[in-house]
Amino acid sequence: MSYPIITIIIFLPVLGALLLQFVPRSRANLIRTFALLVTLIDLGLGIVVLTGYKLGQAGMQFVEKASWIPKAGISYHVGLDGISLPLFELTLLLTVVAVLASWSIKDRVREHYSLMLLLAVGMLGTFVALDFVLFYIFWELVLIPMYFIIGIWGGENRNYAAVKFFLYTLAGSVLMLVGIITLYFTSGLGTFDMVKLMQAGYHSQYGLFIFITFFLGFAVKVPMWPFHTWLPDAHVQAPAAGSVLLAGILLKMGTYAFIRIVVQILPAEFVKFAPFIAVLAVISIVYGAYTALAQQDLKKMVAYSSVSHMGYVMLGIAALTPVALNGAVLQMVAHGLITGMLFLMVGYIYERTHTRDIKKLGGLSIKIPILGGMFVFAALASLGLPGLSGFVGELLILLGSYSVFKIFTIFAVLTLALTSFYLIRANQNAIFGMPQSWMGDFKDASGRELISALPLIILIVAIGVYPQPILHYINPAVNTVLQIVRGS
Amino acid sequence: MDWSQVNWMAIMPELIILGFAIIVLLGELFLNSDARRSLGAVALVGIIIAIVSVIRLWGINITEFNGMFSVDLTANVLKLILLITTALVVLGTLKVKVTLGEGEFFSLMLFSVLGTMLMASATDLIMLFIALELTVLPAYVLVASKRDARSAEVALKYFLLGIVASVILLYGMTLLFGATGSTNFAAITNSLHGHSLEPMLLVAILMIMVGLGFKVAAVPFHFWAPDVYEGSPVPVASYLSAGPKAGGFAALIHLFPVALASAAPAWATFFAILAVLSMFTGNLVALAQTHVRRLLGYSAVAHTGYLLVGLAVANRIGYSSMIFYFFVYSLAALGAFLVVLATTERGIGENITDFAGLHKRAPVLAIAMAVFLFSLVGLPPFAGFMGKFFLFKAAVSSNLIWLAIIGVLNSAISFGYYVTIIRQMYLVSPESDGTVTISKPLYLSIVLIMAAVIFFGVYPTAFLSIIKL
Repeated sequence: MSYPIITIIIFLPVLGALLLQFVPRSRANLIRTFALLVTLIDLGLGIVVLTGYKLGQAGMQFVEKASWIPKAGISYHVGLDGISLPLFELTLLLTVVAVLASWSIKDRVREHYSLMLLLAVGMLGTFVALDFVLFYIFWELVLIPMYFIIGIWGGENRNYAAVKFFLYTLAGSVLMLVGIITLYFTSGLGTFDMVKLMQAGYHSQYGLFIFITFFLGFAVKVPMWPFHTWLPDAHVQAPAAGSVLLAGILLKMGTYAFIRIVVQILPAEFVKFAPFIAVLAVISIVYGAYTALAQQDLKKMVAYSSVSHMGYVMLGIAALTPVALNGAVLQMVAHGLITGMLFLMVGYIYERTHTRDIKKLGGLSIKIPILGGMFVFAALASLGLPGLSGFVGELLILLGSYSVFKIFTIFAVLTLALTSFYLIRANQNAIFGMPQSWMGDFKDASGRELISALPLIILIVAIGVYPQPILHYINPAVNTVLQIVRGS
Repeated sequence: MDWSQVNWMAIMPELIILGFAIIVLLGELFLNSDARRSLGAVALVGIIIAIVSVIRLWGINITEFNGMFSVDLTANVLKLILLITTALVVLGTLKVKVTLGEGEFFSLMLFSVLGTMLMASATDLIMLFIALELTVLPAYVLVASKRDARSAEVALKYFLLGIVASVILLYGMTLLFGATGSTNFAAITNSLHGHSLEPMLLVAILMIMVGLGFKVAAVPFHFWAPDVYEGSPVPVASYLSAGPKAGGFAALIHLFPVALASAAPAWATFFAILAVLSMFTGNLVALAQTHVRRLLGYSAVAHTGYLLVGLAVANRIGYSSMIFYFFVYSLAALGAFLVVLATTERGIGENITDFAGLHKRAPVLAIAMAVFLFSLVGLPPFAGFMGKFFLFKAAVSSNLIWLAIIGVLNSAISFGYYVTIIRQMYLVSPESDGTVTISKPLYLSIVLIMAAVIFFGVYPTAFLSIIKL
């Protein structure tokens, strides 16, 4: 490969954000179009990567490496494998969706799109970074734009939610920094290179300490119970596009980091604590579902359902069987698509009705049949309807986990009924039934809104019906991970 | 001593600053008021020439004046940081109405800079003490120069506490002289080598720590700092946030690791304690502040705490990390003060709420301020992150993981108050719509600092290879 395509994809949005500053504030449509163009070019380059990726090969591809801070053993090192590639592509897609979703924002448009482009840099970089310091920088990089996106364009309680989001994630991740530095000094390799650290294996009395710091940093991000309390606040207050990226991508950074870093670099510690992680995962699953059941606010309901669904991913990771791990990665992608779409629909509905209260809504299938129908579709995908992507991911996780955690898996299966219950109840009350008397006429989905949802619908169905192609990407990488675990 | 044998090159940067300090002062006496306005520019030229002459001394080690004065890499780096930050203050102040005559104001600043530079090169207790006094005496006058009740109050406070600190420091130095029979650092090192830690020496070390602790505003000797930062004229506070502190840290770096090397385990522990106290006190008290400069004052106390981690580490990596951190910290802190200067120049108040909607009234100022504050928190991709990274890396390398943990948790806490300013600037609507105009030199200074904060955050190697970290 002759040109550093991954680097171009990561930093193209920075260039876009810089150029955006030269567009006059008043030309809102030009700003939107330009941002869309940048994210579309990025997505196009992402598809080039996807087609150039060699299937069935283990190890990192599209590796780019350059010396950066040689004195401290830090290099600029990026690359993709079958675990990061799907998430990388998902990020590129959801960024386009988020740009389309925030078209209706009228206030401080240029700032909004600049921040969204900068957010993309952090998200993309996190999934491709193969150097610990680089990873940490990208990991933290998402905080500042997301803080502003929630804080400026959020709901009434936006300041509280934005600061809470920031502080929780920051408090978790600064400890991770100490863990990373300790790893550097105790590994005996004198490098922050993740690939080298994975291959060498880590054996030291500091393993437990490093594990704890990583666990805290990542568990806040996933988020696992009891570190989840920032999530409902952030989601409810965030604007629609912010919620889409928050649920679709930011949460996956946590689960991805568990697989990439904790499992592969500290396999012994991870195996030791896997039952503990499984317990927290199951608590997240059950607690998230029960709490979702109690919500009157559609967005809050989807937010708690995320806690529950990410619990499944963590259960799959903790099980560490090939099937469960494949399922966990697939579920990450599926959840990104489905929950992204749910938040998108809730956002579009809210723009029309100005309420998200399930009790106040009703009859949306009559008033706005297309949007209502798409919400029903996303909800069905979320509850795990066979034939849609959510089903495949959860099924694989549950199948793979049963042999390891029998009782936990049974709890997880039983919770599926609860999931169906709250999602169907939301459909029944908000979408079906008769329109409420206060409702006027609403315009149904515009072309832009349809286009933003269309790729999500196509992928949810495609993965649901025929998951094999994406598993071809995931499986070799999962096998590599498990080899490392077995080798330790 | 034979004056013809002295290598005057060694002290050239100091002589240049001294010369310009005198020229600027004479200018105040003999020029008319129009011509006096350009005295700031004269001072700036002097500083730039001094920077060039420091660079010409790069890589050279000279000890002169019977071992009282030495030039080495550490001294040069500290002088460079000091001169660059002072140049940025002077640049920012060029079009600002200062509180004294221009000549008086800038020459006092240059004299203080001269003291700090001498401090960075001092290798003798007497030299160190004189240099220290030369640093702070002009600073007392500058703090008082607003000539209102508040300014007088804080100047008096600064002066009295400073004098007490100097006396304690001097007494500690006397005891050290008594224990070792010399005032020269090299001789002190030799005399202490292989000896056990006598009680008198321990008392001496403690008293010196207290004295210098005052100068760098370490808890529990920090009480003057928030008052002085809040009450002195803004250009003076900007200067104080960077300049004289360099002197305090230069003294610490020279005295403890060099002269008192053999007592390292003892003072390293003391510094760790001071570091923890300073971090927690500074950050927690800052959470309750409503006045921007007072908030920055407590933040400065907290940052003294981070810096002292470098001394607690007590090895070369620790000191170099400390110097790097000092550099990135002074840039961000100075930048924040200059933004305050720019807003107060346009009649905007100094309460945090006065910054409401600044993004609309002065977009560049708001972005710059946000960059400086994020850098002070220690978030990537800004220089503050790299500073903290190397500092805590040094701590972990010396098995001070607990200190690193306290440090990073304090960074997280500090976000709690820095964000209140960012919130006002970006999340709250302005009370008045008027655009804030900024004088060109001040604008240039702020933009330069912002560029540096981003540059050294992305490419710290540029600085690290200079200090050989």
